Amino acid sequence: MTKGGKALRFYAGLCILILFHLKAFLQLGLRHIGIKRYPYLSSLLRFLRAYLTDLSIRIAESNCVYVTAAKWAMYLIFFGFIFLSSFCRYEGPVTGYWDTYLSLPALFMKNHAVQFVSTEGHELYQYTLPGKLPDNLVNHDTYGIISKDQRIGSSITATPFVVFFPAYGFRLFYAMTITGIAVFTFLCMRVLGVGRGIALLIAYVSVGNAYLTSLTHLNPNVIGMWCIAVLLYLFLQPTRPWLLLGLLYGVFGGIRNEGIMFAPAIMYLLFATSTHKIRDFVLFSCGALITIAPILYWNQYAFGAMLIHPSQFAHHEGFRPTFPHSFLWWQFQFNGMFNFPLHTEIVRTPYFAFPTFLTIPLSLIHILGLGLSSCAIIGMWFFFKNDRHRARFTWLWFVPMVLLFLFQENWSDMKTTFILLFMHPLLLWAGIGLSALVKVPKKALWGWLFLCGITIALVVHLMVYVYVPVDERWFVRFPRATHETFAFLGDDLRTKPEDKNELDEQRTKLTNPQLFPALDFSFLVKSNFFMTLKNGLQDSPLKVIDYWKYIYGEQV
Amino acid sequence: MNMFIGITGFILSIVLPGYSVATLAYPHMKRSHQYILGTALGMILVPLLTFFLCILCKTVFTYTSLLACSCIITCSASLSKNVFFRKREKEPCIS
Repeated sequence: MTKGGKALRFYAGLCILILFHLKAFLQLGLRHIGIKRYPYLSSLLRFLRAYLTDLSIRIAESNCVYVTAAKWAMYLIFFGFIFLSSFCRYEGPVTGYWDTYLSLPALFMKNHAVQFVSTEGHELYQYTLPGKLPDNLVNHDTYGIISKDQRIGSSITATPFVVFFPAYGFRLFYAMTITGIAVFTFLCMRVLGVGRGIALLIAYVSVGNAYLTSLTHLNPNVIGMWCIAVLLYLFLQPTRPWLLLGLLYGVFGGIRNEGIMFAPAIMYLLFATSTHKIRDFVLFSCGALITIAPILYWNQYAFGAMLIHPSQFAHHEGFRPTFPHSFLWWQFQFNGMFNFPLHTEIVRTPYFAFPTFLTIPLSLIHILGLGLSSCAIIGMWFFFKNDRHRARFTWLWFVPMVLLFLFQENWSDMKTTFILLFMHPLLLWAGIGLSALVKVPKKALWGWLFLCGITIALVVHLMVYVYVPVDERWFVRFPRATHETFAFLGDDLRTKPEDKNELDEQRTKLTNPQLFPALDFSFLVKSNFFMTLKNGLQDSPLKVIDYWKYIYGEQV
Repeated sequence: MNMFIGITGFILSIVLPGYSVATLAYPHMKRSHQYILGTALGMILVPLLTFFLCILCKTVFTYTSLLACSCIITCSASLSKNVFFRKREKEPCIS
């Protein structure tokens, strides 16, 4: 019999099996209702479980043309849906703070001038672009450093899309990065031996969660998450070309400087698994140095120092106060707001119910739901038991990055997207845990899952009693923020006094996690494709509000 | 027409160099995975190297600069593949 014939026989057999079970269930099950469960249903469940987890009932060979075609059709529909929904959802370019200071440098790198306007629509500057890099990106008399305090790496990554697709470049870039996250999360799961069904589920959770679907503009953390998915896929492979990995890591460092926090994990993997440790270390370092060199040059050119975080540049236009911090005997001034132990007391950012070190874990549990959060704990243990090196690698990938953000205040809704940078290890553990639960028929494992779920639910519910005073430094830092500017940022609450009811609502939402992941499908009804398409670069010249001036600069 | 030129440019300057790097780094990977990985690698590596090239040549991002960067990466990858990794190609493909 041909391969196609075998596949046909397999699917026909499956259909007959299901029909037979249904018939038998109706005839026998209903007759004995209340006495005993229909016994043969379990065989059908076993069959479906095996199919979902890829234990594979190998009646049809995996490379059979029909099976392959069906598989690819399924992938196409799944990832095509993610791509199209993201493509329609995008509401940029140049709307909102982050989107503006990511898309403007990309436009200037393409030599596409824009018209800067005030919120009333008055033109702000007269300028001509020199037509070369990096001179296009800095003009001290008018727009200043065009990327402001944002990293230039994200803009560089977006620029080819603007060159090739002038009208829809940013939209396409946005859609491709989100689809890329889903694709590479799926591939990561497959590399770890997780079944196709669970891998697709986790891939959807990675991009369909409420935090990511609420982002309708370019966001450096989404771009960072896409790079992380690619990097993790390559690091989890059995063979690792360290030069290429170094090149990619260097690019990621230019997109999100926080990438430095992944260095311990990478070094651990290199020294634990490589057979030529020194050679691979040199290759990796050279690769990273090659791709970070243009960013270092840009830092030197724009900010006057190679190793500087753009937000710490002292000569940005406007008012950016520093605050005293201390840790043990070390005292320093910092243009940001750390929480305890670097501050004198535990505080929370105004308009947020909890300090960041509680907001982040509660938000992660809210995204994953109690089910996947418990699976993540089981998966972490299961992964460690089966593959210690890669398990330790994911741990080291996760912990330093979380620690970096836990004690930062000056939080905002947009900043909550930083959790996208450390979501991947959790998703991988959740996938492994879910897979283990389905594959290994041990009641003890389900018991542990139940116990984890109860413990998480209990701890999270207890958080409702945590009350922390407001960080008064925030009002010093943003005295010039107007209602209009924060409304543009999607944060218009922040110019009104705190509302107790809204804080309570937030508190209730975060301390009452659902069983299932917080997936959001509301964008399906909200996405107005034809309305938002006009936001392409059709306008000539494109009018851009200079948001910076309203938050830190002279405009009040 | 613009869309056609855009797609052609995208394939030539992003997918092609990325694919050549992916086949060089992962010769035993499935072809479909190499295409997917290649697109991602191209999207990550090509813009940054073009930025570098633009700074060196005092120009901006254009079709020409992106294609030039693509040529450099594709040729380097092909050369490396033929010169340094010739033995690897003879190994059996693991699918």
